[in-house]
Amino acid sequence: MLSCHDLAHKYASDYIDGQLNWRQRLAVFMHLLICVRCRRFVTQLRLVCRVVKQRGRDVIKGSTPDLDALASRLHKEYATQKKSSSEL
Amino acid sequence: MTVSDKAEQTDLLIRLKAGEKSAFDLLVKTYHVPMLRFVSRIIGDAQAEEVVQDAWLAAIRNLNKFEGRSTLKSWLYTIAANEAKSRLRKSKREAVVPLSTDNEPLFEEGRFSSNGHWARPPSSWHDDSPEALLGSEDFIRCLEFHMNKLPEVQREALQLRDYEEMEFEEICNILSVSASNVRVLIHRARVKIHSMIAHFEETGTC
Repeated sequence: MLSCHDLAHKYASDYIDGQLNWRQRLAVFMHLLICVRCRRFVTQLRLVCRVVKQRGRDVIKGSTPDLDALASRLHKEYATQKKSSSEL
Repeated sequence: MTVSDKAEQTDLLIRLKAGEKSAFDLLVKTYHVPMLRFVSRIIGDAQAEEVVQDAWLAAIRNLNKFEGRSTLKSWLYTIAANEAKSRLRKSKREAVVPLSTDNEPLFEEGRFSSNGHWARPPSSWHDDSPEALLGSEDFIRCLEFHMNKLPEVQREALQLRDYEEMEFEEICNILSVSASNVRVLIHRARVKIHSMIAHFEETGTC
């Protein structure tokens, strides 16, 4: 029988990410059915994932680089490079 | 148009190699800001823009050699990570934290009893959504502090998985670590951020 220690140390993230085999997944599922403490831990760990994701989104909002200019520069760079390699 | 799946990335690669301007527009619009965010976690905001610009130029120089064995996205992130790490080495500020040196216990002593049950179980949190938690400036400062305190490779793995939503295989390629190590890195990082949030929820302090 899976213990809370095992679930918290080894299996919780893999369970969230769908990385367990069916036997391990079943063991975690059965444990969560009877253990309210681990259910809370897994729910909170899922919230951690969502917080990291949301924080990344918030950071992105503050950034406004000139993407059109960068794309044009890279396109030009590639065209020059292609031209010089075809001349060799 | 987005570049969300492998087929679209393959199509984009063909158009890039053909030199289509619209493909370069799409490439930059899709990946520049996410790469910037990823790199700033490695090297800091001040140098991130310059590093990503260098990464773009390196990618363009090597575009014809890229055969699409990995996805375009993970190829670009690998180049960006290498540029950032090489910049760090040059500035001699790199604090290398190899996997083996992160031997800190995952949970503080006494969290589990000898029979494997929680001795001190997780307490319930007042705020149960990202919006509620991130609504506090103090919380954001604390989160940033703890994210930056994570060993570099843990921070990168967490960001690639939980923000970029990359597959494990892609993360392994970018970080050059095995799949099992990636899973351990992500779990350790999440548990550390979990501990930070739990502490903040209990005490209101960082």
